[in-house]
Amino acid sequence: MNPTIRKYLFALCFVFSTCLLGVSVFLVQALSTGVKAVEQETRFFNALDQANEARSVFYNLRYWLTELSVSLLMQSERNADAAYLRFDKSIKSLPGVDSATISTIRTKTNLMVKIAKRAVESYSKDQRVLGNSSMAQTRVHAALVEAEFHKLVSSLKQQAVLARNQTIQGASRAEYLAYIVVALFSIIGFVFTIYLIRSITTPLSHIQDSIREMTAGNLDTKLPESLLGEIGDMTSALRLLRDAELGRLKVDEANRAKSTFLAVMSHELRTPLNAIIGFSYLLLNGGAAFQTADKVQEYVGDIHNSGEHLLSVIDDVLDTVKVESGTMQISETLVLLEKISK
Amino acid sequence: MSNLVIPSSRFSRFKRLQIGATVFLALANGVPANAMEQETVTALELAELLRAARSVIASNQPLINDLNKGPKGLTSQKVLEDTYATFRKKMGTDPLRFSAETKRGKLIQAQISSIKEVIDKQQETINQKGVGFKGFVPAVFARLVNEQFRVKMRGVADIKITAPYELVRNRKALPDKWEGKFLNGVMRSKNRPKGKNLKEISNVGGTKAFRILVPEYYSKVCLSCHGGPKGKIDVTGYPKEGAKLGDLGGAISITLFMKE
Repeated sequence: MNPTIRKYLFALCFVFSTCLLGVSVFLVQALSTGVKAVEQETRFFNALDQANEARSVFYNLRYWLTELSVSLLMQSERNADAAYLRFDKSIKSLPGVDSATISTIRTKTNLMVKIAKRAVESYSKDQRVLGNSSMAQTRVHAALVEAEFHKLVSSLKQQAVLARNQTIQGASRAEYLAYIVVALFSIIGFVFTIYLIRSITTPLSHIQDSIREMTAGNLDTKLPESLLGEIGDMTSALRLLRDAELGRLKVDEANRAKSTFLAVMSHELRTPLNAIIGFSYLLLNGGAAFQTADKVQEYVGDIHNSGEHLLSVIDDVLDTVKVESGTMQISETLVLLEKISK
Repeated sequence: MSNLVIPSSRFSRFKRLQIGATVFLALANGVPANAMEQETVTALELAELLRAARSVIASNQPLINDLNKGPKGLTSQKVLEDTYATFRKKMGTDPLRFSAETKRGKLIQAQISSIKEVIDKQQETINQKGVGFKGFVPAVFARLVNEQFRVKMRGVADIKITAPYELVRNRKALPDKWEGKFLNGVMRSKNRPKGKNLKEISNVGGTKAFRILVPEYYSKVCLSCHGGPKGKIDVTGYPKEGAKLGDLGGAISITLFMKE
């Protein structure tokens, strides 16, 4: 993989998004667990409410049965019957209560109602003693039902309180874990951010130093090595820039050398030419003193040697030009080293 | 129910029809028509005596409910005197005209004694000062008299005020099977003439008995507790039935046991 700043930034975003997602998932899960715990707690409290409601209706039923046995009024009997129906409905629909407890309460209540009605029948027939006896039994059965209700309500209350405590504990634990998770992800995010920033700013700082050095004229400054991505590209570009500058300096030096060469070459060409022009002038215009056979022989010999020398210089210049232009042809022939050395 | 309307006259056409029906029923049950007629007259006199006493209580209701008055002078003697007067006015005869040796005389005497004993026993209640409504209303009075009568005449006769099931307030007044059959059936028929009695020779607890249902209708006085609006709580704390003037309110059920 070729790490680039864009990829670093994507990685940073990914890490932060992952942290955020992780924290969110954790919080959602904690919240969901909390909601479930509250729902469970609510169910217990609802069951407790309904049990208390059923208990209240049971008291209402007892009241009307007692009222009926005293007044023998039909309205009281109707109220007692209505209370019984309400009681039966409320006890049957108790959530979270085992059927055995409900069955026990219903059976005992039914027996209580049956005996109370027997007492009412006795009172209606003016059989007071018999009625009183039945009412005594009614009280006994009512006490049994009340004991069952007490047991049921206590149990539901205990479960509800337990559920509430569990909810509170769960919420505290979730809060504690949330702090840890948030802190952990924050640290990871912070460390990763620092690492990424440093991995970008450190080479950038090196490059900046190199640019300053090069701007100051120090082309020998050390450039960062093996950097990849955008910073690597920048380093490569800087290196190319430095190499170009070095090349330009070399070209300048070559130009200067050429100028020197031409200056020297001018002198080398002028020397044999001056000899040729001078000796040929003497031969033409020197008079008799310079037109003797010996002198002519000598001067023509000098002119010829100067011409040979000039030709040799011009051949060398042309060879140099050929070499520079790359058109120099090398012909492989046998050469006598002895002859060259002369 | 109090101050109920007397349903029939001795000399009305309806009365003659009743007697005709009695004769028919008596023949059908193997009872001499004369005996059936006598039982009917006895039963109607008992019913009328009860109504007379009850109307006395009704007319004295404001006095009984007087918050500020202690002793009210509503003694058993006073009640009985007014009852006789009311009876005589309605029936044209003296309730005490029969000897206590006869069955009819014995029954009438028992009812008179019951009225006396109830009023005597309730003197403390009637004369209570500082309490307005004392619950001692004509219907309660009549029930107490009937209960007293039942004790005295057990096995001989029984008087009870009953009503169709939904109109009964006190369980003691619930109709038995025989009463219920007629009160919830033929007696509520719109075509049935007002005040028409219903009688039958029947078997009560293994004993042959003459039974009669004398219908009672709501009068104006009754409607203060039993009238409208339906469901509104009356002075006794009971929801009103929503009855209208002249509606069937119940019946006086009289049983006269016929010993072989």
